[in-house]
Amino acid sequence: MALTLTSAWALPPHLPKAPKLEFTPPKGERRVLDNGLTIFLLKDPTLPAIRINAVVRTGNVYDPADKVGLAALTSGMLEDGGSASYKADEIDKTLEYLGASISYTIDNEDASFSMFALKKDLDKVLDIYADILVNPAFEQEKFEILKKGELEMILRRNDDPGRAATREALRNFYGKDHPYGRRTELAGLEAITIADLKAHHAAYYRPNNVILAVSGDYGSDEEILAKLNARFGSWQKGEVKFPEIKAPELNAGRKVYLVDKDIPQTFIVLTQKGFKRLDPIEFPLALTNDVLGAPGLSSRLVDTVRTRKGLAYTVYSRFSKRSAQPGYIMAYCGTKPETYSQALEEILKQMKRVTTEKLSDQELSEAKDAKINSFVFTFKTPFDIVGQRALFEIFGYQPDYLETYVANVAAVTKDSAFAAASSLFDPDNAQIFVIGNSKKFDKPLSAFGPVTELKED
Amino acid sequence: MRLSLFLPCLLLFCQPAIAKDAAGKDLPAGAAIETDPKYPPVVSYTLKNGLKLLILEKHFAPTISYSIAFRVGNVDSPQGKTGLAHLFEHVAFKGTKTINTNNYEKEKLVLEKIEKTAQALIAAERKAAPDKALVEKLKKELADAEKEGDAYIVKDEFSQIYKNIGQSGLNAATSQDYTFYLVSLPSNQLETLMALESDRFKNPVLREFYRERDVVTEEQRMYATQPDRSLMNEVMSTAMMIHPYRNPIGGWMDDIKTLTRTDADKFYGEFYVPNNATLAIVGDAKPAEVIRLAEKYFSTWKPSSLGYKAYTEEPPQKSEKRFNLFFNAKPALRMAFHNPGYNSPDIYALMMVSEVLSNGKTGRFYRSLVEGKQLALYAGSYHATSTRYPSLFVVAAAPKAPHTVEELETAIWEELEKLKTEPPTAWELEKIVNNHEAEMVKSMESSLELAQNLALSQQISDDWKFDWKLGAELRKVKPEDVSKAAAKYLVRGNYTIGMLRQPPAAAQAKGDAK
Repeated sequence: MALTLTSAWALPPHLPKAPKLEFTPPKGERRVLDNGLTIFLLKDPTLPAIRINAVVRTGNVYDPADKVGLAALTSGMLEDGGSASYKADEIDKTLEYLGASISYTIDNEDASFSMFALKKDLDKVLDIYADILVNPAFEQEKFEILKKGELEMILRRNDDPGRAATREALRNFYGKDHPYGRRTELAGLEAITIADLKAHHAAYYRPNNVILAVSGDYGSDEEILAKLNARFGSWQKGEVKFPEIKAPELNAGRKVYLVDKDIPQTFIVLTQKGFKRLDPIEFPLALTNDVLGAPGLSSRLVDTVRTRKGLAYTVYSRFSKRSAQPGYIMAYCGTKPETYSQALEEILKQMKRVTTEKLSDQELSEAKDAKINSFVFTFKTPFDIVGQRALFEIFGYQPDYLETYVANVAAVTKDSAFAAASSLFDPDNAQIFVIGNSKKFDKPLSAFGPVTELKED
Repeated sequence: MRLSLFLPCLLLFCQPAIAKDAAGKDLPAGAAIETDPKYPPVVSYTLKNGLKLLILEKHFAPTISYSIAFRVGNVDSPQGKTGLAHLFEHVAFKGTKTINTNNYEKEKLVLEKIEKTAQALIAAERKAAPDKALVEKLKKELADAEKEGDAYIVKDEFSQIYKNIGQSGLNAATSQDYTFYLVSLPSNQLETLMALESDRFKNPVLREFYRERDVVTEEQRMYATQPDRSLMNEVMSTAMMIHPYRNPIGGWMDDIKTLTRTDADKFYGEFYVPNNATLAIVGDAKPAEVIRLAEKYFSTWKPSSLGYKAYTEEPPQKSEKRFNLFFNAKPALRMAFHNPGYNSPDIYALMMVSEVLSNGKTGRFYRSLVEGKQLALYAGSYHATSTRYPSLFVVAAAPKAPHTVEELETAIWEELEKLKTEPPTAWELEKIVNNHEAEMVKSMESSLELAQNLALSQQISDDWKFDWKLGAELRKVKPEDVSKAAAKYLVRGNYTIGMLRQPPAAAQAKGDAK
């Protein structure tokens, strides 16, 4: 793929004109071991280090209803709980002494295990990394510590209301029992045993359900493949069955939720239905949202709520892209209670506007420029390249998703953007979730719809 | 800022893919390329007006990362005007005489009207017995004048231009000690970048000042909902009696309300001068070309004699200080000890103290408090809250229910006392030095972070190599030096502890009053 970067929209005349830029990023190699383990490789000899990321198709949404938190605890225990050949304490000592690291993240529908090692330590660190992924030991003592830490985090989950707001908004939007809305709770977490973790590991951590992204100063591709094959080659493949995730029941009709709390700022979260991943509506929606309120310093929401009215420091709109079931479109704002209604009215007005009038030529052209010109940052390091390829493949995107991205953005028209916005944005039926001190509100919240008051829990 | 202070950015062994001899070839007189293999081959150059340039070529993707750092932070906000450094940073995105405006000559007149009205409003509000009618009248006049100004404003044009040309990471930050601005762009936009940034600092127009002041007060309100930040602010202003580090970086709310555009213009004239700045470019750019463009765009930026600034030195602490911060959140604690500052040779031993205690899962705190006794959800430490003046060594921890902050405090003190009598093992110290080396390699990965780090180190420590040299300094620290530093600084007479806990009424209602 060659990227041609240029500006369709004219810069102010006194600014210099940029030369054209051509760039063909390397794609990296894609290999599959006999047991189904997919590996993306791209050598990067500029630094004496190696990074690997293993993406696994698992996630919070697959947890049994009475054991929510299982996938997260499992991945946490891969990092913390030792392996067949290495005690947990030994792993900590070895990695930390070498300045190496292995750490995990877990989300709704994927988990990631990243490894960093200096070149000189690659073999030693890779031995540990492979062993914890393939043969985790789930040491009892480490399990108790991790679990108690997670229990404590539940007790603390409402301490920072600005963060709690988005979680609780989605919880009420999807429903408290739906996998996209539910939280980890004390009882469910308490019920999880080491046997559960082992079963979860056996069910999901199969080579055919994992993709590795590898980059760094690892010698030749064949050399690193030989090392990976030696460590992962005997990992038994197995069929992975994913529980069915029911489509959420997203009821139409405006609903307003209030958590009344004496805090100096009011947090407002609007949610409405988004799209499922792989839907090409992603492109027109992304451009519309760029104009409306994508995080950054220039959008309609920033211009009106922040710049012109000085009502907020944080205001944005964003949407989820990667959920198998319908995702969400969200708008978020933190504003003082005495003027909260002005901010909320403005956000609703701007969301409505994208459904009643088309973007201007200049707005659409600028949004396209921004997306296309900044696309080069997708490829800023070799590790970024293989990391993204692994992630896109895990989520089932077409192999040429990145290669066709620019063309897909460029193909969006004012009409297709308007059609997408009109079909998705529906502020009249959006859910409004508010945490704040209602005694100081300049207008009763009921002005925005029927209010359900919730207790913080 | 753990990384850029203690584990800053450094590349020890392997250089980015460029040939050094070729890189230095076409440099103009006065430019120098670093040739010591211990350091990356950074090109340094200083313009006649004092602006320092640091350039490092990296050629994987056609991108460039830019950062400019100024030695000005909240400590330099005048008395009664705390938060001015931070608010200035916000309005430095509001354009110039030619950007964000469609007619600066006409706009200027309205800006003066806005300023006069805003100052009259502040004066009216500050009266012992404010005339409410007058205040309301002036508020309306201010709003009207701002609306009049809108006719000449091209909204958010400065950030919009960056967005259109493909920016990534456009941002800025203010600390107690410094302020920096940063952005990455496709490399064909180098000249546009230089044109925009030079215009921004040579010809800033601080339009929309009072609306941005409202934005900043919202930012402060958001912080006030966050327990950890609230506790740390309280610790700073309790432990620090008089030095300006006691002021919140964003300013006291009451000060913010009195900030004027005139204040900000004066502040700009005093501190936003080329001889108070370092500009770094990392990425796909030729150093000679960067220097040529810097000369073209930045050389007309006027320097000034940076005045001698003295802030009241913090006197030695005389009493142990303890407080409860009542906050609707689960308990946490912060402990603070005055450190001797970066000019003291003790600082390296104190860095080691902090790392021995809290570096990773093999650190003493994690071993003994999170695992061993299982009292803590987390426990960490940091050797300094700031760099220009002596600041605070901080321990941050939270108990795991049903354990209390008091139990945790006792257990932390046991670890501190133990370190005073049992020097760290060779393994503990080697681990930290090894970690620093690995961090130096990682620091070369992100061009944007590297640009920021080069500019900051040069501007704050007068040496962009500061982080690279740190490894050698840490290697010199002996086990007994670590114990000595702990014994010297981590003592009760030099101690402040803040405990965040539920307000008494809320705690009682929940039946867990203490």
